[in-house]
Amino acid sequence: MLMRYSPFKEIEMMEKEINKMFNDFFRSFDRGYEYPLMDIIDSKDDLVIYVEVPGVSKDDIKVKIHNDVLTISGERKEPELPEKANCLIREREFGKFMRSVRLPYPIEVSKVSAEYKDGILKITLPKKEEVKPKEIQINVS
Amino acid sequence: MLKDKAITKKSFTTYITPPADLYETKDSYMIFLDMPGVSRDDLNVKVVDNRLIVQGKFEITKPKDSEVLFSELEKGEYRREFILSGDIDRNKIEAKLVNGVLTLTLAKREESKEIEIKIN
Repeated sequence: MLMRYSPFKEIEMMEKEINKMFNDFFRSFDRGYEYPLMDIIDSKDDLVIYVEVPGVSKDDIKVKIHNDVLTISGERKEPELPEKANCLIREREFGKFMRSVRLPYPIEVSKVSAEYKDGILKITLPKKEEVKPKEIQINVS
Repeated sequence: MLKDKAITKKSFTTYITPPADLYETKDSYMIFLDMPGVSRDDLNVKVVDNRLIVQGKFEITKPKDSEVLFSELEKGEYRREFILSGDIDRNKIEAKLVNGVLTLTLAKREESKEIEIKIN
């Protein structure tokens, strides 16, 4: 049986392994509801993390990196209510929150930036040069 | 087999229901809705008959050539409806959007406000 030779198969397998390790690490956090919710996107040169923290003011959010662990913590304070307000429905949660994420790639810590807009915190973590995907030039002699 | 196009073409839009807190004060009702990622341009609040309808949109534009490693955020259209009781003045509804939280203040009609009666 003829099989197509895929020279990048090993690299693909390694990538799959890293992704699996990353996902497995997160499954260990699945005891109940982990807050705040986040999205993690790998965009070649950076790791971009979106964190949902509506109603939290910028001064109440802390982002810390220690070794390869990123920690987002803060407090969601209740809104200011006029006196003698009667609560009829309460669905939102408040209080302190903290969540840690193990970063799958080494990061250029000095170049990490964070933006906060409309209740979404966007953290951009540039990867260290050596782990950025590189194209290899093929020379034809 | 000929299928009737009118029947097979259905659009199902699933909406995200934003969580809400509702408070009542002496002269108004206040609704707080969590709508993270929704900016003023993507938000629509309207009153139709006796219904207050809140609609918003939240999308993340992924950069080109990117891979999503982990996704928990709900993206798409937010929608929630509230039925206004008779004591609410339709023309006096205020909306404020700060840090992804929509605060709606619905003033009560004059006749429906609480009046304290002094005892001589």
